[in-house]
Amino acid sequence: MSAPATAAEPRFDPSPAHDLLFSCSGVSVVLSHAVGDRKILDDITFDVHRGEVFTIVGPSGTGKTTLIRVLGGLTPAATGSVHINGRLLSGPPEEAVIVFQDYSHALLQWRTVARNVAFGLEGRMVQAEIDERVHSAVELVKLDKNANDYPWQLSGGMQQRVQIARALAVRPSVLLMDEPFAALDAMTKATLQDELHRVRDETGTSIIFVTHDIEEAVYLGDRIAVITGSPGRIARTFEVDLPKPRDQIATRQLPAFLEFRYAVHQAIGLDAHA
Amino acid sequence: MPSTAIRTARINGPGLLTIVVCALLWEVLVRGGVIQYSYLPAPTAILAGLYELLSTGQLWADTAHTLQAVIMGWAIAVATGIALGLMLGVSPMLRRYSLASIEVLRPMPGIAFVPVALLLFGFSLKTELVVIVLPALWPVLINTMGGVAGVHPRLFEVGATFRLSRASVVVKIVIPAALPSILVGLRLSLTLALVLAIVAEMVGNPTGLGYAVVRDQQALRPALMFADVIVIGILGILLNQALMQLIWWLFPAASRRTRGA
Repeated sequence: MSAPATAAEPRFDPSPAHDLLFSCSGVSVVLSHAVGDRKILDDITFDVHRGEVFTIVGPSGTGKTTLIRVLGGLTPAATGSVHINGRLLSGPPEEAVIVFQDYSHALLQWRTVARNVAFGLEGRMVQAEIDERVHSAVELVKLDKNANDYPWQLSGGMQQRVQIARALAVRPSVLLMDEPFAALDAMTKATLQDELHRVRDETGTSIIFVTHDIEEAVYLGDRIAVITGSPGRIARTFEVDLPKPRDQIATRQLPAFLEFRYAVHQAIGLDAHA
Repeated sequence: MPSTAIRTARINGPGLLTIVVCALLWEVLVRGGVIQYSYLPAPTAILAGLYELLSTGQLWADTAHTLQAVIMGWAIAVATGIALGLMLGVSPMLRRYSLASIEVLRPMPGIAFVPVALLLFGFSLKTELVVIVLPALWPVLINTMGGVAGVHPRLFEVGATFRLSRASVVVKIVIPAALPSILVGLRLSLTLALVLAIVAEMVGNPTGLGYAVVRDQQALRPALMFADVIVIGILGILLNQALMQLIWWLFPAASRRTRGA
């Protein structure tokens, strides 16, 4: 991965704020297609802090996946800059791991659960430490009984847990999650949402979570960014001050939850598309 | 179920019965004079010939030579095919430059190289290897290349997000993901290598089982000749089984993904 070709701005000196993790300023992304260049994202600016769950919600085609790829260093920004821990991002940073939506393609089908989880650790530490980390990551996502199974022997929800465990095993500062629960049924999704909160509470890992599900964005997020249009722009951000720990039934019935849901709906402007 | 070590040990009763019935029919037709050719022996005569070959020790020497040629030729084809296939698979540019040459070379019948090889290397194992390696290379190369080019793009992004080096991506993602396809190439290539070794021995290097068939034919010993052919057939079955077993032991997960291929 090469550095953004036109990082036109002078090198930005980030504030020494201790808890600032990601800082995106004025990022736009242009992708080349056969028919010509297309602007996918425009003027994206936001900060993400340590231990925060930052959800990004918007309709399809607004560049949400592209944004995750930019943060993960897979796609360079055309303009603007992304800083992680005060460093200018150029290529995949060691602090961040992407969790992809399509777990069946993202997992190594020829490796067992334990060896999938070990994937990011191999060659970087001694075997005993790998074993220890794999064990705790697998335990964290409650797959200890399936450590020796192959991915194709597991349900979709379990496979997605394997991917989360694999990411957590490298002890990243931030998980970049691209609609990770979109392909799962409602019950599995609810369980994994709660597990994600628990993982954040236990490990302090920040989570940047892209979704097109408004309720999911409100339920999971400490803050929400609403992204709309083509090219995608951040239309609004919300601070979600719902009480913690969140609860699938109680939280979702709170008037404040419903207000957030309504406000996000409004911000997306769904009626305009209906 | 997948832990069964030797999956082929079960005897296929109905299949065996068909073979026995055919052999009996053959025996009856030849003995009863229904089929009359001067040099078509009955199955019992062939079995007697097989016994004769086994007792003189000639058969072992012939088999050992052919086996050596097959294994060596196949090993060279496999090593070269995998290396070239990997390079072509990971580099679209290399593919653009070389696919045309491959498509020209690939359909060339390897046996046409016998006279060339004979001129270059005389009656030698080298001649045989030339005849074996050139055609046996393609199944490995093509299947490796196809397997590598077919690796899902997401896996490369997984490699990137975990910050793997290029070499690690090849070793930990590309090769394992392409393995089922590579293994198919290995099996096709092994079968081909045996056929080519036999032909090379028939028309080129006068040793081994291929030459034994010709030798016994020219000596007007059809029973021995048929026995040679049967030995070649058995060798082919055993080689394939041995490879399957080896794959099963080495790559249990991959062989599960290639089963039936």
